[in-house]
Formats: sequence, C-alpha cells, structure tokens
Amino acid sequence: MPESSIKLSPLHEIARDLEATFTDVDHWRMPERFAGVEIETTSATTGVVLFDETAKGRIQVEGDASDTVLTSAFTLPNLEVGAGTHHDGTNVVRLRQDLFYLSVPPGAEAETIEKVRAQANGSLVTATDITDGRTAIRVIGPDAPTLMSKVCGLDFSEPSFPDGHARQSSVARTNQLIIRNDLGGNPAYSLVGSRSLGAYLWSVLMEAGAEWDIRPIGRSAHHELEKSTT
Amino acid sequence: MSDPTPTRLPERPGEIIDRTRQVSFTFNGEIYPAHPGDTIASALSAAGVRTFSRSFKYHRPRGLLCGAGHCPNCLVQVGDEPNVRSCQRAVEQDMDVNPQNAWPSLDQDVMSLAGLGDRFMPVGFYYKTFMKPSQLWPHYEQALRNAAGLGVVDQGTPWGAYDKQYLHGDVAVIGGGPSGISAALEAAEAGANVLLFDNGPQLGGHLRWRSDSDDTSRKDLLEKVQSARIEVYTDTDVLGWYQDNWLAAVRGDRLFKARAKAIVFATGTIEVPTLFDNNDLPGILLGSAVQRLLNLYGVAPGRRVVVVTANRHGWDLAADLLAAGVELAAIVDERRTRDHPASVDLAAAGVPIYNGSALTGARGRKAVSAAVISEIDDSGNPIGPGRVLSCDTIALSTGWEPALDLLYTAGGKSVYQENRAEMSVDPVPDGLYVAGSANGADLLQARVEDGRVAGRLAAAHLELTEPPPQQELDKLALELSKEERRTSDRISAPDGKKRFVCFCEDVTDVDVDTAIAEGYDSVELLKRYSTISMGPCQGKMCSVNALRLCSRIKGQSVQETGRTTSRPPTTPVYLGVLAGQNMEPVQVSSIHDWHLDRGASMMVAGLWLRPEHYGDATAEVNNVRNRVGLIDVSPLGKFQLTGPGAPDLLERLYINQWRNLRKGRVRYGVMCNDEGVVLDDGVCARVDDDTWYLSTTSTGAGTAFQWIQWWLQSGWGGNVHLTDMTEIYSAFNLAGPHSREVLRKLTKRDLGNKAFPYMRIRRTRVAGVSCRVWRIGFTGELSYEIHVPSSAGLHVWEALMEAGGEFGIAPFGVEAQRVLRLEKGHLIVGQDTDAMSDPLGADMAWAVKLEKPDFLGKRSLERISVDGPHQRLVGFEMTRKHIVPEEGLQIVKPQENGKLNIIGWISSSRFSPTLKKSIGLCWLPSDIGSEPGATFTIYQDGRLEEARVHHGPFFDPGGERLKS
Ligand code: FES
Repeated sequence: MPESSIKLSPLHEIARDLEATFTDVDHWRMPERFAGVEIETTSATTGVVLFDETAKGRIQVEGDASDTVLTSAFTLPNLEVGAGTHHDGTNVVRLRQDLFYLSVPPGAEAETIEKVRAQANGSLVTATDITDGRTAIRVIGPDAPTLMSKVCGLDFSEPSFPDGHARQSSVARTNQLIIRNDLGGNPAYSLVGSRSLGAYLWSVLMEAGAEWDIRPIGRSAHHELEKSTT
Repeated sequence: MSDPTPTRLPERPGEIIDRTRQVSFTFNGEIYPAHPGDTIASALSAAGVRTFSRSFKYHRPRGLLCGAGHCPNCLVQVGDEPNVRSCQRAVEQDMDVNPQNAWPSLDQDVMSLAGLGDRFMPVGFYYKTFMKPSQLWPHYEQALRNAAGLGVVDQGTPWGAYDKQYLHGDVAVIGGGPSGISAALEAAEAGANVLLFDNGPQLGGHLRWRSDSDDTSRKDLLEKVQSARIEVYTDTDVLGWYQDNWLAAVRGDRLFKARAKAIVFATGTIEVPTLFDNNDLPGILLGSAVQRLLNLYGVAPGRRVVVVTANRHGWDLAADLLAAGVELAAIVDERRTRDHPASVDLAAAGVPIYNGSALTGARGRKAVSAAVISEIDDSGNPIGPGRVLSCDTIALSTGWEPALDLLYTAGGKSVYQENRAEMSVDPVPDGLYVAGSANGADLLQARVEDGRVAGRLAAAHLELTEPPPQQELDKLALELSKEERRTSDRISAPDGKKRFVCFCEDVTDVDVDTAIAEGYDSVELLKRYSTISMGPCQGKMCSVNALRLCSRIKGQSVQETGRTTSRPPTTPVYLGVLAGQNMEPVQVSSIHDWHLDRGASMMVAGLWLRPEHYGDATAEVNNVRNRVGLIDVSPLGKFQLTGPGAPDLLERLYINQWRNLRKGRVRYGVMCNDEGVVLDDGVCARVDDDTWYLSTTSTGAGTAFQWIQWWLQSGWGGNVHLTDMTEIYSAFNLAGPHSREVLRKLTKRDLGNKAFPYMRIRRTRVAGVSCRVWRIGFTGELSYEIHVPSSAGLHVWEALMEAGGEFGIAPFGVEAQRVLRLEKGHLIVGQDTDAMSDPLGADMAWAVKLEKPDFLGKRSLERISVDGPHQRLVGFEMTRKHIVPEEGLQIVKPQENGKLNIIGWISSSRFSPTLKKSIGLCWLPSDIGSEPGATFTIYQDGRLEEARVHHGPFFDPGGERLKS
C-alpha cells in the first residue's frame, strides 16, 4: 500500500463539495470538520447529524462453528441473533446462527481475520474483510429515531430496538444492516450497506432530516461525542 | 363604508381566532379580511359570502354545508391547488382563492345559465349519449372534461416535498373526541403504547364547538392525555385500514404508516342532510356547521335562521343562536314532544316553534330566501297546505350517521338499527373496538364511559390487563339502549322536484328512481350507473339517504337493500403524499465522479449509472483496437466460494465442468435454470484449492446471488460459503494492443505470455494496491481485468490513465464495449437471450457437458439435444452494409400470397467501425441459421432488408490478438 492516503469513502465527493477539511486515517482520507466542532456537537446532542464511518474495518464471519471460534478469539457473551457486544474496540453482532458481523478500528482488519482464523481448528469458518464493499453512515442525535422512522419500517422505540442490537432491513429501499450504538447518551444507528448506494442513502437521509436541520459531522466532533460517552 | 364582516359576532367563549390580528386574502378577485385561526370558509361567511363554487355537473351554486371537511360544496381552488376544502384550510395572508367549475364567473356561469341541467343530463347520460360513433369519443371526452371536473390542475406546479413516516404502537385510537381520549387514557393506564389520531387541529372532538358540555370536561381530558404515554397526532386523517392493523394516515404532506396490535375506532358521527326541494341552495347548512361557525370562529351563519331538527341537538343549536343574538325565524321539529330544557327560553323569546312538522322545501334563486315547512303524519308524510317562513339560513339538525367506513374496510359487517335509524357494526373483528358516538352513544357521559371500556378491552386484548367484568359491559349496553334517537329516517317519494341525494355527483332522487326503473336496482349497480357516492366525500353525505330512498322505492328494508363496499382511501389524498419522498436508489461506482468530470454520458443499467460513452463511441472502439482503452466494469457480479464443497456446487450450478480446473486458471461458464434456460454467464477462477472467484453479468448479479444462495440453503450448502464481493472490488478492463505495456508500468509481476497467459488469474499489486487481475477478453483484444478494492478504485484508475498516457489510453463506455464484443460475436445474456433461450440454441453447445452426473437443466438439455434446437442464435451481416436494423426487429419469410411470416428476431446490431459494415446477432430457425451465408429478410419500417448468416467471430476469428 502506498504511503499516502489513497482510500476514499463513497461520500468523499459530497464532503469535498461541502468544503470539509480532511484528515488521514490509516490510508483513508476522511472529513475532519464541516461547520466546526462546537456546532457539530451541538447538533448531535440537540437534533440529528450524520457521520461517515466508512473507514472503520468490517469483517464478516460465517460458519457453523463461528460462534465457538469467536468466543475463543474474543471474550464474548452468548449472543442471540440480533444482539451485539463490544469488546476491546471491536463490536460483534450476531446476524444469523452462523453469521457474525465485526466492526473494528481502521486498519485492524487483517489482524482480526488472523485472530479468527487461528481459532478455526480445521472447521470451515470464513472471515472476509468486507470493508471496501460497504458504506457506513452513523445517524446520531435525539431525533435520530424519528428520522429513521421516515426511511425504515422498523420500530425504533427503546424496547423493540435497544442499544447494542442490530437489524437487517430496507432503508430508503436499500438493504442495510442497522446497528444501534448510542453515543453520549443520545440514540445512534450505524447504517451499513452497499458502497455503491452510499451517496444515494446519504442524500435521502439529508433530505429526510431537513426538518431538524440535519448536518454532517467530522471526525473531531465525533471524537468529542465519544469522549463524552466514556 | 360598509362593514366588510357583517356576520362576525362579538367574541365567543372557546373561539379559536386571534381577533388582535388581521390578514387579508382574495376570493374570486376581491380582497377579504380574516383573523389568524379563520378558515377560508369562516372568513368568507363572516363577509357574508354564500356561494363558494359551482357544482360538478349542473354548475349549480353551492356554499358551506357540512363545515367538517366532508361534503364537496365548499371546494375551492387555492393558487394552483384544486379541490381545497375551504372549511378546513386556514386562511393565510395574500392567499389567492378562487371558485371552481364556474366560467366566466361564479355569478354568471355559462353552463348553469344555458340550463344544461338535469333536463339534458339525466342519470346515465354519458353512457346513453356518447356511445356512438365511437370515433367521436375523444372529442366528447374533451368537451366533457372542460364542462365537468373539479378544479384545474396546473401542470407547471413545482414538485412538492412529501414524505412518509412509520409509526408503531400497541393500541391505535382513531378519533380524539371524548370517547377516543377516554379509550386512549384507559389503554395507556394499562401500560399500552398508544397512538391517538384526530383530524381536527386540537383534541376534543365536538367538545370544541358544541355547547352541550362545559369546557372543563375537555380541559380535564386534555390534561390527562398530556401526562399519559400517548403519542398524539392531530390534523391527521386516517384514510385506510389494511391487513394486520396497518393504518394509512395523512398529516399535511406526510403519510404515516402506522401499525398497532389493537385499534379503537372512536370515529364519531357525520351529520347528514335530508331530502327536500332545492336542498342544495347556499344558505342551507348542517347544524354542526352552524355551531362550528358560531363557537370556533364567532360568525353568524346568516341574519335570520330556521332550525330544522328531529333530536335534542337542534334545540342546543337554537339555544346557541339565541345566546349569540342571531334571529331565529322558527324551530321546526319532526317530533311532537317538546321537552328540551331550552324550549322554555326559546318560547319565552318569542321564537315560533313547530312540533310535528318537517321541512319540505327551500326557496331562493342564488341562495335561500325562505323555508317551506309542513305538518307531517305519523309516517312522516306532509299533511296540510304548508307554510312559508322567510329566512336567509336553514340549519339542518336531523340526523347523524356513525362514521364507520374505516371499520367496514377492516372487515366489520354493517347492520341497520331500525330503532335508531343508524348503521352499526356487528360483529366487530377481533382486536378492533368501536366506541363513543360511532357506537351509538350520544350523551357525553355515555361516550366517555364507552371509550373507557373500549380502551380497557384493547389493553386486555394485548394481555396488559383484565377485560371489564361482564356486568359492566351489560350495564353500559343497557344505558346506551335507553338513549334518545338522534336521527330521522323521513324520506319523501320522488315527485319530479329538485332534491339532491348526492351533492358531489349532482344526483337527484329522480335520478335514483329512474336508474332503479331501468334495472339498476342493486345498490352496487346503482352506484356505478348513477355515480352516487362516488364523489370526493365517498358517500359520507349521501349513502345513507340513497339507501333509504332505494329501500323506499323498492319497498324493502334498509338492511335488505344493503350497502355498498367501503374501500380506502376514506378521505381524498394527494398522489404526492402516497408517493412520498423520492427514493429511487442509484448505484454508482467508486470512480463515478471521474466519469462525470470527463463529460461521460451516463446510462442506467439496472440500478447502476454507467458511462455509455465519453462523446464519441466510434473513436473509443478504434482506440481499443489500435491503442489501449480502459472501461469501468465495476457493476459485474463478483462472488467468492470458499470451502472444499465449492467444486461440487459449481458442477451442479453450471453446465460446464469445474472439478478439473487448476489453480490460477479461468474458465467461461454458463448457468441454466432447471428448464435448461440460460440464466447467466461469466468467468470463474480457481484462486486456490478451496477458494473460487466468479463473475456474473452486471444486471444479473443480484439474481445470480439469490439463485446460488437458494440452492445453498436448499441442501447444497455443505462445506461451502458464498460471499458477495461485487461491491468489495471495483473492476476495470484495460484492453488493447498496448495494455500489457501500460500495466507493466504499475506492477512488478511478469506479464509475459508465458508467466501470465490468456485465461489466468493472478494476485498482483497494481499501483501499490493488491488486486486480482484476470487475463480475459470480452473485447477480443489483449486485456486485463483488474479487480481493485473499491476504496482504492480511483487511485488505481488514475494511475492506469496516467501510465497509459504515452500509449494513447482513453476511457471507453458501454456502447463501445457492445460494438467490440459484437465484432467478436460474443452474446450478452439478457440482450441476446430471453426466457426461452437454451445454451444449445444460443451457440454454446460446446459448453454443455451432458456427460456430467447431474447439473441444473441437464434433463431439459438432454431432451433438446435429441432433435437439436429449433432456433439458433447466429451472427449476421447486412447485404446493404450501412443499414443497421433496429434491435428487436422481426425476421420474416415472404409467402406466396404476399403475407410475411415471422421466423426470427434481431437481438443485437451495430455498425462495426473496424469492419466497415453492419453486423449483429439474431435468432433464426435452425435450418436457416445452420447454413453460413444463407440469406434471410428483415422487416424494417415497411421495407424488406436482406442479411446473411455468419458463423463465429467477425473479427480476429483465431483469437490471435487476445492471446498475443
Ligand atoms: S355527496 Fe359526496 S359522494 Fe355523494
């Protein structure tokens, strides 16, 4: 891999058109800031914002033994289908009896796959790096559930879709994996779907969120929100 | 200067207008004042305007009637928006309001002046008059559209912003009147999440505008709602119930799709008019409309009012009018008793009271000037000479119809209650409950109690609480049965006078009589023939009167007559609301913006946007043949199979053999369905022992993935995993005689023919990025298909373009690719094949390995192989070289009698810049198609063009270039 940042999110041109400032994250060129950290964090805690988290690593683990393999590779509780857990920077969500989705810090994909494979012990467990094939958009803010209810038929109320859980559903007529991962006391949802549909989905969300003055946030504001969580 | 609002009253308790402020708007070109909070109708009424629009068919003057958003009489055009219910739309500053169906003016309408009314347009007039000659129908239609219709649609209206929202609740309550609120509170109390819908701007239902209850009841209920777990949606029309308690509701420009586990229908009642002569004159209002005007907007309905009633509500109304200082010309009550508490005051005030009497007609030219009343016998028939009462307003408070349309659409069966002269629903489907006045409760306390019980039953349905004890239900039923009847079922026999049953469609009682006499005597037929109940109000104003009239004419009961089927939407809805936010998914590749920046003309392929060309497709073809070109083929389907079971799966999915394919090698493969029809094609590589990487067509990728997944999950999934890599890799095809030289600049891999020959795959670093590089060639040139991780797609693409600069590299689009592949005679699945094409006919017999133990389609292909295919896909070239037949054209065989038999079709055709002639692929009967050089005829634009069969590639038949 060349030294410079050559990886681009499908939302890169949108951020450029919005005159975002950029930063490098493990060969990815990602938006650092749009309107300013304070404005962005305020919107995230009072309305709703979008954050491009495409640079995060994404691993799909499939196989009848994937449950056992992942439990050995990470310290995992027993997960029901649709439930998830967080361990050491890695989010694990069970999508099917034999299918898991892992999201890892940017650049940690190869190491994670290695960790999984090391535990396979001859059973057929496939760990695939699907990072490049997906766009990940995080919808954050107190109005996020209502915004989601404008583009998706799921029930986003607390008991039906609690924090840490995941659902696969149609969002604005595209297939998306939706992971609820609250941030700073506010509801948040990561939408993970086809890379080629990322720009489309972003524009639909921006239009649907106009009633709350939705805005994009960069990594700095996102970092601030993460700090307030911990 | 005259008072611009002569009927505006002094401030009223509970009114919702802001008298401290004033706005102005125009109606019919004149400026009118209003207060914030006024509707268009209340502001016009305050100004003394009586006629708002003209009717749909006869262009009769019409004014405010129901005041509740049901009837068609107050529809107006607001700006470019037709059919606005003026009694519901709030006035805004500078609003431009105009009457509908009036030309040249509201006052002097040509259609009504010409008297083209009922004499010339009886029921069924369209069917009878315009049947013949059929060629003239387009002209008739145009004339009718100009004369009839509702409002004017402006084609230039800008695109509106509409959207949708999904709602979820345990219990949905439809109707925010006292019973609905009470139901919602009870269900919430039991722990249910409650959605409460109401079409008014505030909750409270009739408590907002009727003075038979004090405002504290409403305030008390509202306070409780605020502190309960209830999501309130006001200004929201619920317009449909669908399977599994799916409700469609509309607020403004938003469609709600709500799901609930139980539903309470507290939908209230709709006040309905009665039939009498000239019953559509402006100045005739329903009693509830008068009370709304009085108590919400502080407007008197007129200067001198006759109240016509058959229940206590008319007396409440009369008391209201008296208190507001409006002159009462009389109270006319069908009943012979006079026991309303207000009757004493009214009599003391000198208001004439006529018991045992009914309204038989109205007089006036453009608006009411008098009411004609008559005593009636016990059957409701007029007796005696009648009496004329001078007045400018008639307030009708003679009957209510429970608003049960939604419940009917949910499967509720209608039962006509003769004792109450109202419909009810019995049985009510499981999980659905009806409450309040919709359930026959009339007095406030009964409504509240009935709502409470319905809320409790709904919560009990969800097992959140116990249902109410049976004694409680019995007691409530007994109380309801004791309630006073509130609806009159008096109906006169048609006698030729002008009595409108259906205001929306201008249908009179004579029309109904005629239709029945003509044989349209079932209510469903009657509805379709006369169009009664098919107007904007969907029968809210007319269907019960139509049923009573029908049953009277036919001499049967209302129950025997039956009612027509209710269907959603129960209230009019904008098509834009149903469409919602524009959500048309578009897929773009990782270098989409690069294409746009280079002026690519984009085309739609499935959901993908792909460059069709960059200005000159012919130049792009020439550049690939002579130098080097680069095409973005990212939409190609790309799948990975992992596991020792992969070869077995491939052997079953494809018609070809796979087990013998060695590591690093590539083979072209064809998938068929079990009928032997070609599904998809592509190349497949064995990447290592247990990893296979295959590609499919771009538009067939999704279907192919589902197809493989289906078989995996149906028992063929042992020891193999399928992963969709389509989006993980972007794909670029570098094609042309200089492609090796270009790629060599970006990689250290040996690209020589020996190290990396044709039909091989190699893991290769290109511009520093680890890629999968295939050596394959759809274009017929030396080419490399580079599959690069999508996030680095632009980096590698730009590196290739830069490296190719010295060799004259240029991007090429789908159009050039189509020409290049045609020159090689390659088919495209879906373009050159259809749902009948098998690989034996599609020139792929070489790939069919019938000797394999089994594969999808084997049995069908074995059968076809016995006699050979009837049709063959073959190449052709035109005799007249410059003629390019359109794709899809028919191939014909002229008969002796001059007729043309269709024998085949053109699937692909282009002019080849390389060969300087027109070439293509077509389907022909096997006997003709099997013979190279055989001629056949194409039918194009009335001409016959000759073409000749060609077998094999048109260009580089030995494949030297792609193997070079
Ligand atoms: S009055 Fe509206 S449809 Fe008949």
